[in-house]
Amino acid sequence: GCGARQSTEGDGAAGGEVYEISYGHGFMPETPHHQAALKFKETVEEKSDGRLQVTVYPSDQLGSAREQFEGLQIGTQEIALLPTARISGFIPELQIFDLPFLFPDREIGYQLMDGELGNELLGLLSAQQIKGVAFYEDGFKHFTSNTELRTPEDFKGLKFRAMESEIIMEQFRKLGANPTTIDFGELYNSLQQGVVDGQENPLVTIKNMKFYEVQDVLTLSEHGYLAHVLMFSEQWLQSLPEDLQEILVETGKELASWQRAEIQKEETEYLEEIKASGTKVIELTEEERNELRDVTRSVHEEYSSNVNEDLLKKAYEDIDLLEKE
Amino acid sequence: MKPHLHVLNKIEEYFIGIGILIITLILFLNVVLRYVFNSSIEWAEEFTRYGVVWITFVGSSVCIYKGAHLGIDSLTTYLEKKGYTFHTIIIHAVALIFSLLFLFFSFNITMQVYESGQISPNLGIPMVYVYAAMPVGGALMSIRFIQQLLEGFSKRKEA
Amino acid sequence: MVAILFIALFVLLLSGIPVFIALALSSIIALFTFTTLPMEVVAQRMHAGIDKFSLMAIPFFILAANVMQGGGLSSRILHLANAMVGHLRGGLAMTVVIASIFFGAISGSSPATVIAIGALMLPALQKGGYSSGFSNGLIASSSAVAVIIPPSIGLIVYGSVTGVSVGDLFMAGFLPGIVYGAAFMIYSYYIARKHHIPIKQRANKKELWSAFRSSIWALGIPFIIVAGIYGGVFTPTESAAVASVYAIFIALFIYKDLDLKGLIRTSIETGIGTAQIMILLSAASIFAWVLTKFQVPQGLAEMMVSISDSKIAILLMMNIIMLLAGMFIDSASFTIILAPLFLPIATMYGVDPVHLGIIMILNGAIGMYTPPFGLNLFVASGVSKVPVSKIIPGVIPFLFISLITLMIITYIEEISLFLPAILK
Ligand code: NA
Ligand code: NA
Repeated sequence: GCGARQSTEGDGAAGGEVYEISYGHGFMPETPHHQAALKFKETVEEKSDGRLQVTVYPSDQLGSAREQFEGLQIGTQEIALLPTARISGFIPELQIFDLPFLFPDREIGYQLMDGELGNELLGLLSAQQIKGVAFYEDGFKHFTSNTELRTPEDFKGLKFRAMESEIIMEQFRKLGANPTTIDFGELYNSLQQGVVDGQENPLVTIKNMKFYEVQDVLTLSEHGYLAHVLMFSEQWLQSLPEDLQEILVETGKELASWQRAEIQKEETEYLEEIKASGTKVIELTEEERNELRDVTRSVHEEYSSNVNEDLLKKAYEDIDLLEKE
Repeated sequence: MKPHLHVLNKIEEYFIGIGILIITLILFLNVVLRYVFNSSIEWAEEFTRYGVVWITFVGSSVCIYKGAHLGIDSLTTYLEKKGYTFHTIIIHAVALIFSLLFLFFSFNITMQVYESGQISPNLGIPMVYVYAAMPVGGALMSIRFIQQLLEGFSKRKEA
Repeated sequence: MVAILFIALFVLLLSGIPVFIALALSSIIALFTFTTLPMEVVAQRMHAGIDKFSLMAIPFFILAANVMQGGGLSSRILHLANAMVGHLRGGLAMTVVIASIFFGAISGSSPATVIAIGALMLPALQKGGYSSGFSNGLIASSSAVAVIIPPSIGLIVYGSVTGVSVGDLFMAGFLPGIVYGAAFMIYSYYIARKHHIPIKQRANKKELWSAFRSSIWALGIPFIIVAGIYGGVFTPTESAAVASVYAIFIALFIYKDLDLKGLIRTSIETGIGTAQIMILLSAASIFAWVLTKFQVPQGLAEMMVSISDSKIAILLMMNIIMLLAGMFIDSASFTIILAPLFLPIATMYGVDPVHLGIIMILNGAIGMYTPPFGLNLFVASGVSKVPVSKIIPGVIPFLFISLITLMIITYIEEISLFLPAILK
């Protein structure tokens, strides 16, 4: 059928126009991200009495994150769920999430993303004609490697694959490791053959890409956080009747906490599977984690202007406040 | 018109030739740095991709006047045996229409990328410099197909 | 919509217009006629289609192949190959199969393999008395099926989509890859007998030694690639750049068959070869995007399940759909789209997920040389300067053999599952 055609006739739904929507993201069908997208589809179709019809395109079928962001701008798709780290070329402030050890724990992270700071960040998207709706997540990033990583000493001389990002590169340098860019598609082989010694990713990716098959150690470092933004094409959203706009935005917001709970549930299973494969899973002690945090802290200052100093200051203040509670 | 195009030929050819050598050298150096010196050129991968994007769209123009674009040739060969160039002229006209459409669409998206101020993640250059390869390539291809059309007409007159 | 898309594509293809224009223009026609989508998407996808690091092996292997050709490395390796296998019936053709399978296995890119092996071996095959159709068909097909031999990006993609262990998939890919190699070698032997391809006198030890000695530097290329990848020095894509630099060094300073001017000329040729192939991939990307956006593969898959309910028929229909998809969509993309659709159906009929992965990657590979669109046909044409219309008849027998072999592998699942089972 013709998925992108907007039928202007009142076919199907109770009297109103039917709007066909393309919702794209980069995750595999089994992930909580895709489940959230399907739940979104189900909910908005039901709430709108079929006036909204959503087609979900998982696994980057519509293009990479950067390309899907552009897709929202030029109007080839209406909705996307994209990692902040992949779209900071449009909004540099989103790099705040890439700063090592920014969130002391997940709960504080959620409060920040759902609070004023999150709102401010989402608001920045409107300069790009994008409506930022809510933050979803991959969760905390961890290291995988073939040797135990407890202290900065353990990182010395190791080659780590780093994403294309100055902040993440610098984080590895501060740890004494050597960051190198390897294409994501070549990463499994590169770990297997030893082109690089390790990499960082959230559990959902380590599990899905099977990196644990070719790495001996998983260190639960929680050293970085990967957030995702649910976003709509702003111009398209404005063109909809107001009741539909509300359904879309509200549903998108509501599902954020569902998706986060779901991924936390899944992470327990991922860990079981990774342990069962024989990969050693290390939990860091408080001191070990603090030491890693301290040696990478200067990344924050060096890149504060990249992410906007005021925003960062505000984040620190909020975190302090939340930690005291 | 001819002598100008001759200069253009040379510019295009040196651009793609030297371009290939540069990206090869950079990727090679990256390997050496990583393996021998435990360091790396962080933007090597990105630079390679963008280089190839430029080489592809500029090279596509070179392919036109070198007759190097790949195609299924059965009908063409059959018609050419009959010394019939009318078909070729139509092909070149359709190809020219495509190049102009491509020039138009790619110019629009390049302008949009320019307005959004999108920055590449590693080199930190505006993405507009990468996208610009398409309108440039589209313009060059259009010039080449016009050139081919004109040649087709003059050949037909001779015949 | 789909009908118009394909009719436009075939009319344009047959008219003899460049393939990339046929692909892009038919997409433009379909989008313009049936949707209100902004046409800028054409340019966006044409950029996205080539802005991928996994494709970068292509330009670098073209460069390596061109330098080896112009710098006297190729002729020395060929001389050695002739001295070693020239006295065997079909020896040269069988060497090509081994070289393609081997090279395809490590580079992971079938167009890159067609370029690297094709540039080296096509002239030799033709000098040796093989027809150009056979020679091109041989290289286009054996380069393609090699991608299932690990390390295989296609299998990694399948593993991440379906949750199957990549390690198991890698193990499972070995035997089917070898079965393919064997099938092509048997056919080569048969052709050599049938057409009385001349055999040379067996080279004596002295001749062998001198051929080996003169090609020792040139042999550094395959050595560097294999040792570098398996030794963890570089990725397959990087290996192509390293091989190029090595070839340039040997050609300029050791063999001295190439000077600086020659190097520039070779690089320009490489730029042209790169554009020739990358612009095809660029245009194929908008075509594939249209198919994806309109969920054509999904539609086919749904139709399939509604038609039959026998395991044999379902597997057969899956093969047909994948083969069709493989002609137009690169194997990573179609794995992403089709694997989630096929896996639940296949497991319902008791097909092992690992086995399905092998079948899927094989179909993607065969789609690469299925006429009229299979990309490898055009790449081979670009390398050999033999028109595609002459390559197609040559590739038909290989396609026929491939399909029979595919059926054997599909229905005898032990071929894929044997190794993973004993290694557990
Ligand atoms: Na492991
Ligand atoms: Na392979």
